[in-house]
Amino acid sequence: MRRLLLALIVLVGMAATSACSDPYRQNDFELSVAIRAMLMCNCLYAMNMDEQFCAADSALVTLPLTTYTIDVEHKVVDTQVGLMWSDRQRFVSEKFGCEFE
Amino acid sequence: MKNFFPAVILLATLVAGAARAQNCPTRPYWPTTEWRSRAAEVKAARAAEVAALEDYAFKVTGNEPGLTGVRVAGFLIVKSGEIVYERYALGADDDKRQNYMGFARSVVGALTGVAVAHGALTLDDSVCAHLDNVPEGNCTIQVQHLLDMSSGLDWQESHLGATGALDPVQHCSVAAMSFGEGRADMARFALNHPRRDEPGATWQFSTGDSLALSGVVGAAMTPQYGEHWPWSLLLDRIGAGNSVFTHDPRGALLHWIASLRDLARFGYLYLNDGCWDGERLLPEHWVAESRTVPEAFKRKRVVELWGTEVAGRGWMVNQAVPEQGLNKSWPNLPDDAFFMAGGLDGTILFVIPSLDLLVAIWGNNHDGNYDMGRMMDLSLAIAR
Repeated sequence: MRRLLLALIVLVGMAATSACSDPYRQNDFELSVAIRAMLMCNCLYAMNMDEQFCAADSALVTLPLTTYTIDVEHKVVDTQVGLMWSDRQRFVSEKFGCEFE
Repeated sequence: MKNFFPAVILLATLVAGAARAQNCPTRPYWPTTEWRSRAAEVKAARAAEVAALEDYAFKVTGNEPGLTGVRVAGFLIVKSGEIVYERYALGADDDKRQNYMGFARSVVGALTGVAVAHGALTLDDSVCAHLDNVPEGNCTIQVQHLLDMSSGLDWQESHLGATGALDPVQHCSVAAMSFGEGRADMARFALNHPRRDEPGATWQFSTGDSLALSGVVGAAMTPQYGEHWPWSLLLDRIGAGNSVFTHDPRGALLHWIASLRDLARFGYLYLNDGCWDGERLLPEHWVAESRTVPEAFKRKRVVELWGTEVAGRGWMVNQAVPEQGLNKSWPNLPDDAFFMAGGLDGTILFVIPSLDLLVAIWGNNHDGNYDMGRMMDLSLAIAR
């Protein structure tokens, strides 16, 4: 419970201190789940690299709380930050790679 | 049958004449299906030089925590149309593809040339001639401005992870366009920004300009040639048809994902003045123009997370720009070297016409501890 509370405080704190000085709508968590979904999906299914490589690579440019799950059968990558933010990319074709759903 | 052979000879003469008329260079072969390789022979002859490069570039071999150190997933050197060095690591191979991220602007630049060659647009066209729902005040932006990155749009080109993974990205126009509110229609998202300067007055490195250009060119070409036109009219022709181009729902091309060998094919197109196997794919002078520093760059740069590199059109060039107090980026490389770089990890393609040389590196560097000048010195020693 203490761990959950701590995570919540970190999330709220990060959202509050985000240096947002412009009109773009999405906060960093929304962007982070989108970025990781796109990078992971294309890394796995367009680049054909393995999960370890893709996970390490995409982790470096996204917020550390951004987790992912892979649906290998349907070539889908779902990403989440906690319960509030999520996104999904699906591999659609050999020409165009992955797209947001 | 009697008339068949003269007809064939006449046709062959016409084809040869057409190729000559296009002022295309000739080569002993073209790597459309396979690259010829002398790598084994060169490795035997220059063992010390190869070892020196590998000592620097390939020491790290795993996914160490933090991905520190000089990390290279692939390295390809092509001299006079033949591979003289090639190696992969970190799970990559000659068939795996790299996401070239910002390289897409160079490929979109080439696709613009294809569109010009097919008469689908001119560089003087207003963006509004091809895209609707662009504010009237931005209709003075022309194709050339987007190619030059001188649209004057008020754009914030900070990059993901540029100063650390925890940096807020919400203030970044690129993130908003690619992953946020702009992702459904990136070209219009970019072109709906207010203007900071008159088009052509100032230069700013802008992924927004590149995506706007991609949207404009796509709108000009897709109705006539279909959504696969980048492949049928360019990538398939040079043997890079297996490459992937991610796009938004409106067709604007975002990230080019291709093998290192296909990246080298793209470089080879530019090494051969936009020609491939006797056929001119890019307009005459297009490659020379790509290596020309835009006037806006010389006049005034809006510097935001941009180093001391000198921009061409879709490429960066190894030239000094005294007006901006900028020296050559790579003093050890010839003045005619030009290169495309992008992404976050040291991936780069050098094209050096005076040496008939390509150097393509699939980098995987994340800690900034990466000396590209040294990497190129070591490459030149192998390719000399």
